[in-house]
Amino acid sequence: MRGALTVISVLFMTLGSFAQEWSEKAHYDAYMKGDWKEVVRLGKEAKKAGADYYYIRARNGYANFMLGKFFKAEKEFDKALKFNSSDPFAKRYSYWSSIYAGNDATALVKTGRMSDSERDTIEIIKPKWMNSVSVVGGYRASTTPTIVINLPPDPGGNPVTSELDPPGSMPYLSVYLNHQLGRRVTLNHAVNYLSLQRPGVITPMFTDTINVWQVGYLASLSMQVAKHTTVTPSFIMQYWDDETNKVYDLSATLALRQQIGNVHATLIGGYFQDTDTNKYMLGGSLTWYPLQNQKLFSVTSGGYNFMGDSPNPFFRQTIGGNPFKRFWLKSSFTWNNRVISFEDVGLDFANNSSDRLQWLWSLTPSYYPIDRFGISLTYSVESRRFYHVIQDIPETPVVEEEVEISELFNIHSFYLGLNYNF
Amino acid sequence: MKSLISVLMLTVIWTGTIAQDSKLQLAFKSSYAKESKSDFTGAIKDLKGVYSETNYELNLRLGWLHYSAGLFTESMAYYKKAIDLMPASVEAKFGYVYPAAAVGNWDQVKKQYENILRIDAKNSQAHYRLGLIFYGREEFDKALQHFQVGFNLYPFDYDFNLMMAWTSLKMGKMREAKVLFNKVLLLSPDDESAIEGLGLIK
Repeated sequence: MRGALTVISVLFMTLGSFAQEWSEKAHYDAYMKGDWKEVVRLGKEAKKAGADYYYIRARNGYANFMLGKFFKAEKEFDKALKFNSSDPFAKRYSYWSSIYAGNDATALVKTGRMSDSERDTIEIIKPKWMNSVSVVGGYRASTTPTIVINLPPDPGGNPVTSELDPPGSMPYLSVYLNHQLGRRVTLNHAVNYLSLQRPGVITPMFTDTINVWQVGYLASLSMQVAKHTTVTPSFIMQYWDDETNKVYDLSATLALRQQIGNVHATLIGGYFQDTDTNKYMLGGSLTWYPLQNQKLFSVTSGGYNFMGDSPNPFFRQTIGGNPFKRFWLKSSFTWNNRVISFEDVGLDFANNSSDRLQWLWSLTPSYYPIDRFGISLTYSVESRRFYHVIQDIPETPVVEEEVEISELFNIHSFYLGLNYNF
Repeated sequence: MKSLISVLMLTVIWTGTIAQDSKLQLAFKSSYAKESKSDFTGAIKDLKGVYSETNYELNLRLGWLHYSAGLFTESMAYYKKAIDLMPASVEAKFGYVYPAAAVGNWDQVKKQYENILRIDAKNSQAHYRLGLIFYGREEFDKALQHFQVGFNLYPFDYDFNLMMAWTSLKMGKMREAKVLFNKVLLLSPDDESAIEGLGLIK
């Protein structure tokens, strides 16, 4: 056994010694042969040997590009351009690497460094005032016929229950517009409409249904402040009307997004105000592209720790992820022009509303049958439960204790999205 | 007694310096012989035997020999040392651009030419090469500025006339380009490039 191990070890050592050592010629030869893996391997050896110059970076970039490792290709070409900032080859492939890595905003900034003739040689993205328009509409409905609520016992200590219909009649519609303002600034804005029926005051005798409708407006300005850094201030205003109360919700957030290789980190902070509350929020998310290629697979997760629930898809779709949940996980798989994304939203946390979101997940397959036109379907389920909230100071939002007073009930949402890129 | 010790010490230092000089001369002589036979590795080895980091000449020559041997990273490092030792040296900067250009680091090449022009503002070679870099980048106005300096110094030089002509053509200055292409034909009758340029004007 020991002898066999020795033979195997010697064999591996011999095989290892066949691996070519770094030299400019070896790197060039591997590049000319199209042996991309060898180019990448020798490129790493070169860096270890302290050799770092334009041709090494350019060849490494091209080899990674051909291997479909677009994040690495992007990085190598960016380094190549530090040695030769005017090289058309590196400029072109740096641009394409960013496009294939899904960093369109970065690619657009890179076109600013190209001469007119270089721009003419490839079909580059051109800034357009009207970039895209999306319409998302759908319906939310509960499959639970009636919900049994366990109310506090009567003075004799007998249990008291109430039955009520789950929230119903919930159409939703939103329109998103995307404008490109020059190479570095993108404006997203949207309006939405939501209508729902929710239970009023729960009593053993009678529970009325309240009709609520809401309109909202969002404006989000995304600024590419550096090659891989985006700063996005957003403003959201929502108006709720439930026949007796009229409420304005205002939110202002600032998001900082930084690309570090195949990881995108986002930090978001902001302020939320409605009639009763003024809250600050801060959180972050990480998006990981494990296959070095955004077009294939990505995972986003993150957490926040503020505020109440917001199942309104207007918020969730626009800000990316769910800024009102403690934790979420979102993964996206792309195959040619088809995208499937799955979002799993973690537990909500307590606030002083009577029915609260417990969990939510959604599945969104989308398909681009023609280049500019996309169709998406979203199916999501949210699970909610009624709580009896005991407040230590009456008429204030300070919660002393919450007691579960119903089983979970599910609400299903179906949304159809149509997207057109100009 | 004291003066005798001083004389002895000076003699020892002087003898040492002579020995060092002759060692250096022998190493340089041997390296030239090997370089002439394209034995760059041998030539480098000779100089490394007497290498001193603070010796400008050794660093400069090692820069050249490493470049000749295709060892561009090392060549740039030696030229860099030579530049640091003699910051006003133009030859070390011209040397540096060989390996820098060989590995495609054109931003470093451009920077060295600009450094040369800071020291020697009328250096025609630096102006010509910088002009070529800007011409390649299609920055014709900057290219013309550099070609013009050399052209004024050498009004009947083939290279400056030809590049001034092509740059003028690219900038749409057809009359100037025509005059310059015709002048090139005086320097080099039947010159293909000049004839091609004139063909584009007609």
